[in-house]
Amino acid sequence: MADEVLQETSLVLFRRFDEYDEQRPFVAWALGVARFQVLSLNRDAARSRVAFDTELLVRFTETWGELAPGASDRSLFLQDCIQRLAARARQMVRLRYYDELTAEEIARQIGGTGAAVRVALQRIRQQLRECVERQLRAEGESP
Amino acid sequence: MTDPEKLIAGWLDVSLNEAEQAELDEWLKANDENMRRFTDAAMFEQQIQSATIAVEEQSAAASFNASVGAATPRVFSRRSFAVFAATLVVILALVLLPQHPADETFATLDQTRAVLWESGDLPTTDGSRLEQGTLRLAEGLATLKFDSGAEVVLEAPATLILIDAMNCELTRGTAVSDIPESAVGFRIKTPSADVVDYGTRFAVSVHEGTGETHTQVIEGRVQVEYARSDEVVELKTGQRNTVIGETLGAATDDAEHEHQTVAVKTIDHGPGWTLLEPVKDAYTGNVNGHNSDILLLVKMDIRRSRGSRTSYIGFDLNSIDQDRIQEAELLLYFAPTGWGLASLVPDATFSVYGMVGEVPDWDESILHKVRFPGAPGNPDVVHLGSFTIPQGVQKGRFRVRTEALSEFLRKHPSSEISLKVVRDTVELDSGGLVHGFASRRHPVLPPPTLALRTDDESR
Repeated sequence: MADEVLQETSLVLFRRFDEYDEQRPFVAWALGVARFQVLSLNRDAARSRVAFDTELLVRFTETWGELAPGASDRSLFLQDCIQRLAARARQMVRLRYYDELTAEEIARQIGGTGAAVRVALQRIRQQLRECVERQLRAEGESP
Repeated sequence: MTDPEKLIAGWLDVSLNEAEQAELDEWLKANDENMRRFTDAAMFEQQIQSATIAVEEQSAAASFNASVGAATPRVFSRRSFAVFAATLVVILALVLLPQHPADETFATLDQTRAVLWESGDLPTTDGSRLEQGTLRLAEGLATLKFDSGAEVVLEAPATLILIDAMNCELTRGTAVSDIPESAVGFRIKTPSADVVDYGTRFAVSVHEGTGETHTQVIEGRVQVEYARSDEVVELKTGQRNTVIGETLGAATDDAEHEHQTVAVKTIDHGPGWTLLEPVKDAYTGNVNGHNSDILLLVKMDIRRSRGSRTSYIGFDLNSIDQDRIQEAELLLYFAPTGWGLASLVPDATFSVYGMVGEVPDWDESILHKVRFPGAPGNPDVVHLGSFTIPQGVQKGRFRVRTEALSEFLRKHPSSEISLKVVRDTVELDSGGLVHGFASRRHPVLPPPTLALRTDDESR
């Protein structure tokens, strides 16, 4: 399946290569496409369904290319925002994004249910987004 | 309508059910703004992951930590971000992709017996998982279990190309297949035909030189599809057919037929006593068209009386002082007969008997024409010894060295003795392997040999 993902991804990337310019973090975009495909294939596999919505994938990569330049500045502040998280939230972020555990696996480690972890993670995403946007605004206001 | 935020969050967590996924797809298709919102969330998710990895790796490196630990965020240039992202490619590629390693295997090498492999491109240890590739079996039996449920026993010498859990290609040798319901439609391709199974046990043999295909149904039903046209022959239990070149043979019920593969010659090696060669040897159980001029055939057919083969060996001991025989050994050099399926005969025990009493002076040219075992004249016999040949083994030197043999030779009233070789083990089903050992007419292998040690005459 990994082969399939790589193959699909390289195809899409080659097709959209002309969109790449210095202003766009191509690598991050490419990864985004790869991730989308990995997740989609996982979902399809989980349901024993082979169908893959290529129309959505194409629009997704186009939209990603369109949004990436404006979004790349967020990366600059995200590390700081993550480090500011409360200990428990920080631990969840580490388990989810660094150790790549599922919500259920995280729940087993820190207690609670998978659903509760998902709610908490969604809250953390929102918190990080607000933190980053606040810093971006401050950046823009500074001389 | 579910809250789109929830759908997006569910997508990120890989926790959507089918209905929710469909709902999300609909929502995404509705307009570009929705797609932007979704893509932005996916992008932000990836940025969180990148940043988390950076943070975790920084905190792991203490020295680096000291310089970055400042409360104020560092502002990277776009160029430095590109470098950072390039590093992440490597990390993420490792993290993302190997979670789903490609498992291309679809069969297991379940069991091997007395095997010798030739160079192929698949692993050959018991229990190995197998993917597409070629197995070349020089000697012995190898059992393959396909994930479809099909079980194939390969009989050497054989070459099998594995295609997938439902397909393989036999280019030489014999494959005996057991097909459960889960693997109905299992197909064995050969150079001249496709044999498709409909839930049965069947054997396919391919002659290496001509590519001709013999198919025999042990139980059930198979279809033989001729490679050069749409012609098809259906075979039922007990039936067989042959595809040779331009001809797709009709189904026949000739149960006397045995699959011919190929004969292999062996190199001999003899012991150092007084060696005697037979003055005559022959076997009974003549089956039209399935005989050997150079091997003595031995088989216990499932029907016992018909199809069984028994070998007789005559020695003349007149050059030996029979009274002085101390030790005696009978050596037989087995070689593949090319007839029958090794899969249908388990580990086989052979017994050697001495004929006693009124032993007729049998003639080998006449005995050869006898269709039924029991000749010559059913004289009394005395058991002299036994040996076992493991399943899958078709060649090698086997011997009987017992006090019973020495005593038989010592006490035999005349110098002309007759021995009888019988396979005690009955085949599991019709069409089983015919064993054979070299006769005195074999061009390469030593004949049946009686090795004798007599005590010192001066004593």
